[in-house]
Amino acid sequence: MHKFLIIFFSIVANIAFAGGFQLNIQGTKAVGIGGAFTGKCTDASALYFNPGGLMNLKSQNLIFGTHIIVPSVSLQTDYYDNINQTTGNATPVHFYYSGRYKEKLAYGLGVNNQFGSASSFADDWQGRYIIQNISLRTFMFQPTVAYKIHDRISIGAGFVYTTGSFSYEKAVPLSSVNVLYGKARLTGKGKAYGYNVGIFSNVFEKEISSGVISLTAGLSYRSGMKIKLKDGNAEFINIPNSMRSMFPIETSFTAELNLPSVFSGGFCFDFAKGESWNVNLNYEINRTGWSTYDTLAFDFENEETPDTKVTKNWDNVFAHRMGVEFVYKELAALRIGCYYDNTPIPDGYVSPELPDSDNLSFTAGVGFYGIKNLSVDFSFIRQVAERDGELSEEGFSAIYRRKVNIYGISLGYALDWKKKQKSAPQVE
Amino acid sequence: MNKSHTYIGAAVVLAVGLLGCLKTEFESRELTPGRADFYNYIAIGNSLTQGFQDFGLHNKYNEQENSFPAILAGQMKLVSPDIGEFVQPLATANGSGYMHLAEINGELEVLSADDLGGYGEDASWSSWADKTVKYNNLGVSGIRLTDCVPTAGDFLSSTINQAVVSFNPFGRFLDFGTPIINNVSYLDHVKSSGATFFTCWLGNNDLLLWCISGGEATPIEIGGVGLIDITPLTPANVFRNKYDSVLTALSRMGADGACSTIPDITSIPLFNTINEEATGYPIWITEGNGVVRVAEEDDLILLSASDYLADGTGQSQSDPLPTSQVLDKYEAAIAREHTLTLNQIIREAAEKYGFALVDNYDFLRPYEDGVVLDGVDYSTKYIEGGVFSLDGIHPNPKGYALTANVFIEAINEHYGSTIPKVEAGNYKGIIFPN
Repeated sequence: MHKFLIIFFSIVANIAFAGGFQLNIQGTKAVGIGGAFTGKCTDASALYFNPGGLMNLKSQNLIFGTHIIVPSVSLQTDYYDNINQTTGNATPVHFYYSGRYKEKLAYGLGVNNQFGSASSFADDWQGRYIIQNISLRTFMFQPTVAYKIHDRISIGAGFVYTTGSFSYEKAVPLSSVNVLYGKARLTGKGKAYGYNVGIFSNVFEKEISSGVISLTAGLSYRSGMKIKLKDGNAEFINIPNSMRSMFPIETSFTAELNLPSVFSGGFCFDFAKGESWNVNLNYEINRTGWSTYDTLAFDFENEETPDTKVTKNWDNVFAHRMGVEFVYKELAALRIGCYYDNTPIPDGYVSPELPDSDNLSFTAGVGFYGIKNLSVDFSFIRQVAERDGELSEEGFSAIYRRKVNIYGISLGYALDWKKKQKSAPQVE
Repeated sequence: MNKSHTYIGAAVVLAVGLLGCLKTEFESRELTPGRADFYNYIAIGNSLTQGFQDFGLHNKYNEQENSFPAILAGQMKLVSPDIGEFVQPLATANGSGYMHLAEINGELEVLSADDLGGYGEDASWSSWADKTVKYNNLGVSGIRLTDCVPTAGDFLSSTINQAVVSFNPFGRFLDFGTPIINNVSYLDHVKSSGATFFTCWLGNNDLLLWCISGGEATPIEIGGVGLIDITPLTPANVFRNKYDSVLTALSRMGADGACSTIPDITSIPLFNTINEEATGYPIWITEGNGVVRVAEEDDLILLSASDYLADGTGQSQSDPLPTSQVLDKYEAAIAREHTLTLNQIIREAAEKYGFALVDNYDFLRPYEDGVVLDGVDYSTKYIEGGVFSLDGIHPNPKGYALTANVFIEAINEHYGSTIPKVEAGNYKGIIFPN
């Protein structure tokens, strides 16, 4: 008889919530024009895009909206011609309210899902030892104030309280007589705090022979956040009994999830022809600080369960967003836009749950203003990406094809107590 | 309101048009045998071909049914659906008996077939396999190339071969005739196989048997011949001639095929598990020439030495491990050198006859440092490395699946076929007790 000490592999968690992990669908109007809203701020979603822009709004503003994300992701590997993700649709929501106190102060509250991701595969798929299912959902609650510091400039700041819930499943490569592999399921909840600050300016407004041209611009910064999963629950399922001391039925874990900061700057150049219609061009640049997302570590309470640390090595990236909006004031608005998103994931770190790549996406939107003070907006995003990617740390490579359609709808209500608002060339 | 109808209409048309465009599926890749004819695939080789693992031939949990040639044949059928069944001489249940992992008093222990609680040989084993059946898998555990082909100019050779292979229980499925009167060689079976395609993975035992004897001779008495060492290193010139004989036979049959090199035997867990790092104390060994000293990093101690160490042998200068338990650093160097020599012969022969070359030597090398595949870490480490079976010499089903892929890659490249590889994750590794 030989006795041997067996030291085992670790439960490496190679999780990558890629660029799509940040849901850039926090307002249907913004989505229609490629997401370039930081310098525009014409509805209550300014609360998210640029708190300083609240001063650009009417006395009372309310928006409630949702998007339906319909993804389709396929992979081709050395072994299989085609593997489909089984990810279902996601429906992040957003709610914003802002009000005005006297001439120079505005306040508001926003609730949204800034970050979120879900990916699912068949339990027995080729990459099951990397991931079977993963989901992250965040809720951000943001009370906000804005103040007019100058005739043309206002600033705003919000406190962001975030709750996050996380779940992750992967197979454990331990066989017994009747089982080919086991499963690890990690679930946890946590919270985080952050802030959102911005500055907004009505740079100029000028009458020319054929109408009025104006320029608005803004800068905003949303801080990074650290969600602490304090009392996460780890379950190990279908593990051979002789390996139970290492992978118990249940143990707890702690982990931290870093959410990146986002710095944005943008403008809106508008041309208004009389009272009846206007057209504007919008642009914005974002810098997302994904490099904070460098490691993801799990620390298990059960001492024999190997703790893990995974290097993500993501890059900080820029995204460019632009769009055009035509508004026929009494009736409707039509929007079209695009954005170019650089992926934060370097070569060699492309993980199957979110095979992100640099990509140009197209957006469109339409708004209706038939009934007084009420508006309905629809938006649409089309993302198509293909990437030949490798996750070298896990020895997995594939060709990925990803197509995503995102449909959005929101209802808005805006009311002005005073009849005329000087700095509102856009129409709600 | 007419205008708004137009807008809505346009939006609906746009949305519906794009809705249908969520198809991301990849087309199926073409399946073709290329220039190869897989109609009658014959696997030639030793234990690695037979599906031997855990120091036994067993099929309790489909181990033998997942021999690398059986996996390969299953994949060949995907590109050539009309090929026949791949017939193997399957052992029943425990077969020859084999090692397994057991949990005893909360600790994992490796039990040999004849240990208390071990998986001993099956009742059917002595009468295993029907000699009249024509098998596709001709793998015979323990067989050396030199046992397969009579040595030219050595009139005793065919009788010695006959005796050696007849003694071998793993060759019972083949009829080796009657000693002297009618010696049937392994090569004769190859010649009568009617192979249209073959894999030839011979030669490992021409090295391995010497290595696992600690570099010592293993004389046995063969009736009418005398004491014969059955574990010498097969000399290069003998190896070259005999390898050539096998390939000549296959070439004359018009078969296509693939020849595999021999992996570096000194890298397998059998030689790399017992060392000072694992025991925590210096291990005293006897060199092949009788010198007693403390083992150094380059001395390779056999896995079976753990039994000696448990009894105190090897823990002191006065009671060192016997030389049969140690492939000392000089012997290890000889083995490595000889591996390179034999592999060169295999490469040249495959090239000469235009067969595919499967480089299992190159394949195994990175596993010494560890390889990650589809999220699983593999290495040549004993048990935890995940690819070797409990005997520390042969792969487990996962390891055999990976091996099948090495053959598939080489065959595809050489013959322009597109045999799909198998996913190692679908095969079991070490079986842990429940």
